[in-house]
Amino acid sequence: MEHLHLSQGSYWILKRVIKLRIKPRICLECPECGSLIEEAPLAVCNECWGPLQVKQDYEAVKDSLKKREIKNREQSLWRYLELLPIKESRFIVNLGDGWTPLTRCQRLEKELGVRELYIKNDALNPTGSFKDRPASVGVSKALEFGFNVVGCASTGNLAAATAAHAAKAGVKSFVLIPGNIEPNKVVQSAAYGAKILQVEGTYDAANRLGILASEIFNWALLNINLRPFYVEGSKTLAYEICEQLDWNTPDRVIIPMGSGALLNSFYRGLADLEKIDFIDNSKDVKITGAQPKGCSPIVDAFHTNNRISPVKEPKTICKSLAIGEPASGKQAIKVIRETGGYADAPSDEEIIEAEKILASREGIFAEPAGAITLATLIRLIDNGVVEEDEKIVLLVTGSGFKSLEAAQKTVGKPVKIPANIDALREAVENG
Amino acid sequence: MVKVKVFYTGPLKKLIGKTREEVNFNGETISELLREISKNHGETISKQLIDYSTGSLNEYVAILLNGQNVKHLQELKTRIRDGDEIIFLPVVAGGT
Repeated sequence: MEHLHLSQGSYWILKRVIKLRIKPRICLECPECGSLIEEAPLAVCNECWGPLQVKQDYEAVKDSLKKREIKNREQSLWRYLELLPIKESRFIVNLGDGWTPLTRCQRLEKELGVRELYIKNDALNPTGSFKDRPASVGVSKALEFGFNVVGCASTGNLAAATAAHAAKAGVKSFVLIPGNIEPNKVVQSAAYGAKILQVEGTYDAANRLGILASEIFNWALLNINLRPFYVEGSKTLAYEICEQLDWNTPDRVIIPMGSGALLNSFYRGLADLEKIDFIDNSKDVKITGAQPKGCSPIVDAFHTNNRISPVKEPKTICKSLAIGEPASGKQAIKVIRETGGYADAPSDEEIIEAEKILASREGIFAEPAGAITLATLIRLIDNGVVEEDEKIVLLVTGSGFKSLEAAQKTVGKPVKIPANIDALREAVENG
Repeated sequence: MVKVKVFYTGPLKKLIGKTREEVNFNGETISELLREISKNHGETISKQLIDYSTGSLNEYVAILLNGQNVKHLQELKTRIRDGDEIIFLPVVAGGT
C-alpha cells in the first residue's frame, strides 16, 4: 500500500477534520442496574425497567474539545456538538436553539437581599421555551436513526418545539396533549403543521397513549422511545451558564420540575464539564427543585423521605409542570440531596405574584412554570434556606406569551380615552 | 376462575414474546395475576415487576386496570374482575 505523505500543516488539518467528523462511540446505560447496551431508540432498561441514559466517551471528548475553540463557534447549543449524542452533523436540525442570555438581575438583588442573581432566559428560544433544546437534539437523532415521523406527549411547550423542528426537517409530526392546556400552545403547534391529538384526561393519560403509540407505529416519540437522547439537549443549559460565567459555576441553581428530567439533565451537564476538565466543582452547585403546590410529588417525597406517590389529578396554573407520575423524580431527589440543594413547592398565588415581579422589575415575561423559580427563591429566602452571599441562577423556562390567561389575572385594564390632548392630560394626571 | 385480557409493552413484550394474551387464573388481585403470568412465562417477570425491598410495584412500572393506574387504587392488592383489561407500561415521561 502506498503511504500518504503529509506536510506538518496538512497533517494538523486532517487531524482536526477527523476529530470533528468521527464521534466516539455512544451507548446507553441504566443508572439503576448498570446495564450497557448499543444505542437504539429505546428508553427503558430491559433488565430492570430503569430509565436509560446516554453514555459518552468523555476521554475522547476531552482530547478534542477546548474552551478556546468553543468561544468562536456559532451562537446556538450546537457549539457543544462533541458533547451531544449526534454522530453525523448533516442530521442536525437547528432553529438557532439555545445560547440564550444569562441576565444579571440587579433590581431583584437589591429587593431580595442576595449578592448575585442571574436569570437564564430560555423564554427567548425560537419557539419560546427551553424545550427547543431537547427537541433540536431529539429530532436530529430521529433523522439519524432513519425515522420520517416524529412526535411527543406534551403539556404544550414540547409539542410546539417538536412541531417546529419537524417542519424545518420536512418530516411529519404528531403530538399528544392533554385536554386542559393553554390555547396559545395548541395554536402554536398547529401553526407549525403538527397533527394535534388532544387526549381526554391528564398529561399522564396522554403520555401513556404515547407509550402505546411507540409500540404500534414506527414513530420517533421524542420523550418516549427517544427520551435518552432528547434529555441530552437540556444539558446545554448547564454548559451555557458555566461558559457565560467564564467557566465558573453558580452556588445555587433553581430549576422547575415536572418529571424531574430537566433537573437531572442539568446536573449531568455539570458532571460532563467536570469530566472534560472545564470545571472542577460540579457537586458544589446546590441543585434546587421547584414544583407547584398543586402537583408536587417530588418535593413531597424529598421532605417525607418516602417513595414518590403519584398525584392523580394535578391542580395548578403551571400546566407545563402538571405531571402526576414523575419518571425522573427518584434521580432528581438523589441529585438534590447529593448537592446539598433543596426542594420547595410555592402556591399558584405565589407563582402568579412572582411572574408579575419578574416582568415589572427585570423586564422578563415568563409563563408560570418559568416564574416558579423566583417564587421558590422568595420562599427559600423567607425560610432562611438561601444565604445572602450566594450566587444564584434561576432558570426561566418558558415565555409568558404561552400562557396569557395567567398574566391577565394580575395586570390592570387599559385606560380608554378619547383621541384628544385634554383627555390624555386628565388620564396622566389622575395616575 | 377469572379471565382477563392482558397487554404487554416494553421489556415484558420482549420477555414474553407477544403483545397480548388472555389469562385464566384462580385469584382476584393484581398480585395474583402477576404470580400467574410468572408461572406461565418465567420468574424473571415477578423479579422485574415487584420491588422486593418494599413489597410494592417497581416504581418504573405502571399497570393500568381498565385505563386506571393501579397506583391510584390499591396497587398490588387492587381487585380484578372477569373481563377486565390490564396493560403493563413503563413509566417514561420527558416533561420538565
